[in-house]
Amino acid sequence: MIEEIRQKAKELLAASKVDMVIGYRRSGDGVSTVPAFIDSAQDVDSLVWDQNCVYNLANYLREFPGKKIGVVAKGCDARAIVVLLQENQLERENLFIIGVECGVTDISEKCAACPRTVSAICDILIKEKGRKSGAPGNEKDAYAAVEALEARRAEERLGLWREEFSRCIRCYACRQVCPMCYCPKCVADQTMPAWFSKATSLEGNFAWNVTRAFHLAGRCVDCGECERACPVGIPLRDLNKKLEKEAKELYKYEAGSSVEAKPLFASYDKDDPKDFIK
Amino acid sequence: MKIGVFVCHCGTNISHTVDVEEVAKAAAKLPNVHFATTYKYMCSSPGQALIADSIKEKGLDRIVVSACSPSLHEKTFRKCLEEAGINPYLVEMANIREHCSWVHSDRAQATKKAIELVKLSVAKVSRSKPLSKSFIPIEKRVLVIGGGISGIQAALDVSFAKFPVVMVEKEPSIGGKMAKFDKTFPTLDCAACILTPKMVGVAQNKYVTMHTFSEVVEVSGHVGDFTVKIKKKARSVDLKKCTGCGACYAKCPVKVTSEFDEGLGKRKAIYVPFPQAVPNVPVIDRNACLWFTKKTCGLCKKVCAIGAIDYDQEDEIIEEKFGAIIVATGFKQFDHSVYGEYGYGKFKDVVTGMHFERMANSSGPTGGKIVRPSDGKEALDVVFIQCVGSRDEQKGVPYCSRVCCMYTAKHATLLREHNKNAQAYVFYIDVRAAGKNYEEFVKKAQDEYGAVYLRGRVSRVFEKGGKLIVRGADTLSGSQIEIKADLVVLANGLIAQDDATTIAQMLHIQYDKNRLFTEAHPKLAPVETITSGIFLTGACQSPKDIPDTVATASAASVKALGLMVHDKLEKDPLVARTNNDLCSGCKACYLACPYSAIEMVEIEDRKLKRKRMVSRVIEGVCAGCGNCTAVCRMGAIDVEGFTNRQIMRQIEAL
Ligand SMILES: Cc1cc2nc3c(=O)[nH]c(=O)nc-3n(C[C@H](O)[C@H](O)[C@H](O)COP(=O)(O)OP(=O)(O)OC[C@H]3O[C@@H](n4cnc5c(N)ncnc54)[C@H](O)[C@@H]3O)c2cc1C
Ligand code: SF4
Ligand code: SF4
Repeated sequence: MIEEIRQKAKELLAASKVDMVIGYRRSGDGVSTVPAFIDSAQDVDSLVWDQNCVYNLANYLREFPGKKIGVVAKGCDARAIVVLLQENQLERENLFIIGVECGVTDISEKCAACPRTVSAICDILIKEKGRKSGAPGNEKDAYAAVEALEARRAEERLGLWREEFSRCIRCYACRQVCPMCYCPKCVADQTMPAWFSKATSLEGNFAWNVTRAFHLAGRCVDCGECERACPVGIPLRDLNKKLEKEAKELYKYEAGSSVEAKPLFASYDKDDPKDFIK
Repeated sequence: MKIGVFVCHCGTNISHTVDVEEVAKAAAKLPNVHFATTYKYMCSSPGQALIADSIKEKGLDRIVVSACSPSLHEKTFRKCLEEAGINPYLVEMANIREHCSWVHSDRAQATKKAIELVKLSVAKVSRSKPLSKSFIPIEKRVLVIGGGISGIQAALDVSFAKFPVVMVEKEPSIGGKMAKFDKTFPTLDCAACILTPKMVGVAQNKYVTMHTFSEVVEVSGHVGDFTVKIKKKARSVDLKKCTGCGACYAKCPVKVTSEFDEGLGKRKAIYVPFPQAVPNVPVIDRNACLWFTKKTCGLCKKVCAIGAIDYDQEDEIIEEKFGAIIVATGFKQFDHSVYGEYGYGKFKDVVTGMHFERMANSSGPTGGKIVRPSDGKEALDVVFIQCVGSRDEQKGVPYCSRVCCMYTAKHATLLREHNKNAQAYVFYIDVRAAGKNYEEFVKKAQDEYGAVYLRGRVSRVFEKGGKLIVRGADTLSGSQIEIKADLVVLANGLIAQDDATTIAQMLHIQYDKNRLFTEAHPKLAPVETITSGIFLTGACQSPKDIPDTVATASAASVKALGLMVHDKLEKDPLVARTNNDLCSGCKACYLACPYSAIEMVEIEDRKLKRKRMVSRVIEGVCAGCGNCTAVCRMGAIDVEGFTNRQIMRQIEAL
């Protein structure tokens, strides 16, 4: 696959179809990978593709407004691109999406339950050899953790999350890696009004983590980067997955599946469930 | 900051349950509160004087009135503040009546709650900003979309007040459905006799500009200032030159079925839809014309002495400004092809009510004879089937179309008038004849014109020996009946036009699940829409007969004129506002705003040194509903009077 990716990148850069290709390159440790920003056809050989390519590259696209960018996109990266397009943050004509059919080969833990390993949107799809095309992803227990939580009593859940959030050091690494966290000024940093405490108190931490999760409802594409980045190991994906499940069950809405769909919170349908209005 | 708190007894309405003195005492201790007192009726003149005097004597600069619901008296107190010389938007009302004394009985608890409510209002008003009203200038012209009887009436009413009206009609002539009718219920006066003078009245009116064969293609702006693009389709005949002599269509060799005659008659490729058409200027059907299809013929151009035929005419788009828009796009007949049992399409002699109208019309395709379309013989036994598509949730629409019972009674009457030997049979579910002289009209059709009414549904229509056999149940006698008929007439319901949703989206007005346009309030604002400056009339809103259509047309005109007589419109400043620094341009608010009051604009971001998109609220359109604030994750869009800072301060105060 990597040869095909390099070939495509070279072709795009040589023909000036894009100004830059964003992919992955090997990092100093010789094992892990970091994002590669390649603007010359000669440099495409530094591109790599293996199970260490974890970053969600959609996160970098907004940084090059007006530029034509080629981007290597796994299933989750592509879903993130869809959301960013829906939310007016990117321009489709400025993107060349090199979709990669990522092997179900555990890029990280989340991949085990990834339902859509093929890019939802792409200009070319590079397939993994020997894999039956269109094979479904892993449906394995996507909501097992959420269901386990739902089964517990409310007080128990509260206790659990208190404990988890009490460890939060408010480093905002989760925000940094999230492609959807692009607000010019995050509510956590605003002062007029100050929406919640900025100190690492349980109260402030709770407010921050819950707000972060709420702001991703109907938007999170479950790339899992937040959980991976969290230095104190808060299971953030459980929160995200819960909201994802709600959006699916209540509104049949799946983030990142269609550019044309109206974002969940910006849309109203006469048939939306109303039983919460008492 | 010097806040004054005024606690009202409301007679005993509040003081019966709430210890108002206690509330005032507690209020006086709140931060920034300079003065607190009580009074029996705060809204009375002495009550207002108490507030005004305190403002002057004690130098108060913000006021909390702790009384009833703001929907009752907020305006009263705003005015009171303004007269006392401080900004009217620096008053908050703490509702300790509806939200407290009326719904509680425990005095101690209620008093405690009232104090909390006052605390909230004090917190909120401390973050209030002085606001000022804005004014929207009004373009003194009205657009009427649709030239049926509703549009015609509206145009005449507006023009009577001497305001310019522009009427846009998509067909080559105005007149709508009514122009097709022979006579009209319940008085049986001739449709043309009452409609034609109105049509001519529109054409000759110096305040009315008519654009026929035209469509509205784009609407932007807001009340007082709509910008509208109108597409004038190429007519191929010069409206100014043509005298309506008719030489062209007399000579035209191409004959096609006439839409106006519901396919019962023929028209030429160059034609006026009906003799009384307004304007009386033909149009070329470019799909049928030999010049346009084969570049041959050209006869019409040759015979037109004044050179009005213009094959090179092109569609033209004009742009005009209006202060108000009246929507009068009318209805469409229900398509009954879903009812296979009635045999429409299969049997030529199964027709719709509209066909019957054309046949009954003396200037129609049969010269006023009710005939069997299959062989042209006069129809003697005619079966009418009611509720075709109406009141049928499975196959049609759930509602009653309101006019079919009446027009069927009219048809039954006309049938006998046209032919003494003819007999009408009417299958009905129940007769709905609520209207002035309506029940009498139906009774007359039965008693004097011998129409036989059969209560029940028709199960099948089939052909046997050159006649149609209508099989149905008579639920009153409990028997199955079969009637040998020459003609079967279906009373198709009235439904929304095909392009109703497109029109609604263009105008930013709402429509219901049947695609009918929705009024702002079903009882109290029946001709308004939620978009201010846009009004509804006629059958585009719901099935209506002519009297109701005309009544709503006049009502809509009055509403439009109500705007026209003002030079500018006062606008409450309680509208949304975007903070560009916080806005990410995500469009959530733009999509969520039910009034389409938000536009996306490009700004130059000096910090980022590049252009980026942000949302901008069109003040004139914003209703201050707050949907945008709710969907904005960034907290970038705020409704004045209910800002995030105000609400946050309230939460903190609790
Ligand atoms: C068979 C039948 C018989 C009836 N008989 C009677 C009767 O005897 N007495 C009675 O009181 N009522 C009768 N009615 C009801 C009557 O037809 C309506 O009350 C009346 O036509 C409603 O008028 P309107 O102007 O709202 O709609 P319409 O008559 O439908 O006129 C709408 C006009 O708007 C135009 N238009 C539509 N869309 C657009 C657009 N997008 N842009 C520009 N123009 C557009 C159309 O071309 C049309 O000219 C009868 C109805 C039927 C079906
Ligand atoms: S008006 Fe009469 S015929 Fe028409 S739908 Fe209503 S009940 Fe049926
Ligand atoms: S929702 Fe908020 S951030 Fe998004 S466009 Fe509207 S104001 Fe801007």
